Amino acid sequence: MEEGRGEEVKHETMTRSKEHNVGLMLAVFAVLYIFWLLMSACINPLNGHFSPIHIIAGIICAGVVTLLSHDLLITKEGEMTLAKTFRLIAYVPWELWQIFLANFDVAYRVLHPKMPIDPRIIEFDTSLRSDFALTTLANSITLTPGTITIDIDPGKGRFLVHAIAKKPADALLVDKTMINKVAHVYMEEA
Amino acid sequence: MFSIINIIATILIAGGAFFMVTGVVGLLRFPDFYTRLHATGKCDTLGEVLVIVGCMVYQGWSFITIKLFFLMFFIFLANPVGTHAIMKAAYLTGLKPWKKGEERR
Amino acid sequence: MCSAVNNVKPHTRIIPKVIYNTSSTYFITYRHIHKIKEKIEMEDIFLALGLLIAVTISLSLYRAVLGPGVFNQVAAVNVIGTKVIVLLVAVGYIFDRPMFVDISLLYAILNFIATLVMSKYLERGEICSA
Repeated sequence: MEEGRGEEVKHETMTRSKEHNVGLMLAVFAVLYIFWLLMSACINPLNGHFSPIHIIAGIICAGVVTLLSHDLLITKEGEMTLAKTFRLIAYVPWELWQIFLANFDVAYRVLHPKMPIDPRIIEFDTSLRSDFALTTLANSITLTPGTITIDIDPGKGRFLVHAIAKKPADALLVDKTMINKVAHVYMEEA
Repeated sequence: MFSIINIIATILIAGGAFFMVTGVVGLLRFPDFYTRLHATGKCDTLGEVLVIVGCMVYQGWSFITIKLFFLMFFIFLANPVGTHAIMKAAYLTGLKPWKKGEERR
Repeated sequence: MCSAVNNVKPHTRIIPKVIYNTSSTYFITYRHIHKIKEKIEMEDIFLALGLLIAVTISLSLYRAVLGPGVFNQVAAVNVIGTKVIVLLVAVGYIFDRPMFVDISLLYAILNFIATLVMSKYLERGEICSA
């Protein structure tokens, strides 16, 4: 009896439980099909290749991918996603400017003859809990020169970060500008 | 040659090439595995993004610009994730980081 | 054909021209263009970019071969894959064939997945826990 129960549990973890919501499947199919048409240059009426092979092959490929994994692109969880999307679009240019400014710092550290580095590992807690917010903050930390994310604990929002000198580590521990901005985007401030 | 689009594209491509060379010099110079990932995971990504933006500016409005935009978007998201994955694997397997004053590894 | 090449005047650009005839054999003829290069074209900048990236790829081979431990080697292979993407775009611009961007998009995805699978194997000892 115990072996039977063990096999049942193992079989359940192998498959995903899906709800076949037709509206979501059509939306995912539309996104994939427009991507296919853009990649194969079919939309342009002046000099596009209006061959039926591209259009029919696009329908087949986008249809197969939608049937197999339509619940990975658009998920049902999360509320107020439209406001969060607008705030995310407003957050990206500030981040790009920070990345561009601070990459000169890493270039200075590499090309200096004495190589002033002093690496250390730091650990801190945040108030973010959802998947998107943790991923955005981890990507921002990895892209800003001076710090790389090593590990995340999603239950407590704890980040394990490797910093290359004292100044970038302080910008993350003491100033907390980036953490506050990401918490403002995803509306999860403490 | 001396139109304004060509000059902007040349400046962007030169900046991107400078950052790429800096990234690989950092890969050779730094004393430890974790610090080498700092150099390549950031300088490489930014250098590539600058080179591809320069190619997009040179091309103008055509379909190749859309493909180059998707390539740049994918590299911008995928390179830090790969860097974080290999660093997490090294940390959880027990590789010790380098403190100031030790010898090179 | 050899005597035609020996009669080259200085400061000429020689462009090889490939002719395909119907029985699928090809001849190569040389067409002399008497032009003195006096300006830098955009194609020279892409050529310089390609050469620079080739130099950086061969520099990072040192870390891929000699890196103490397997993690340094995996990081160096990831760097080489990232450089090859930009090299493909530059080669596409030199030879005036815009289809190389599709190939580089595919290789970007392959390189990313290879790095993820290698790091997952090194961390756990297996790839998928079934």
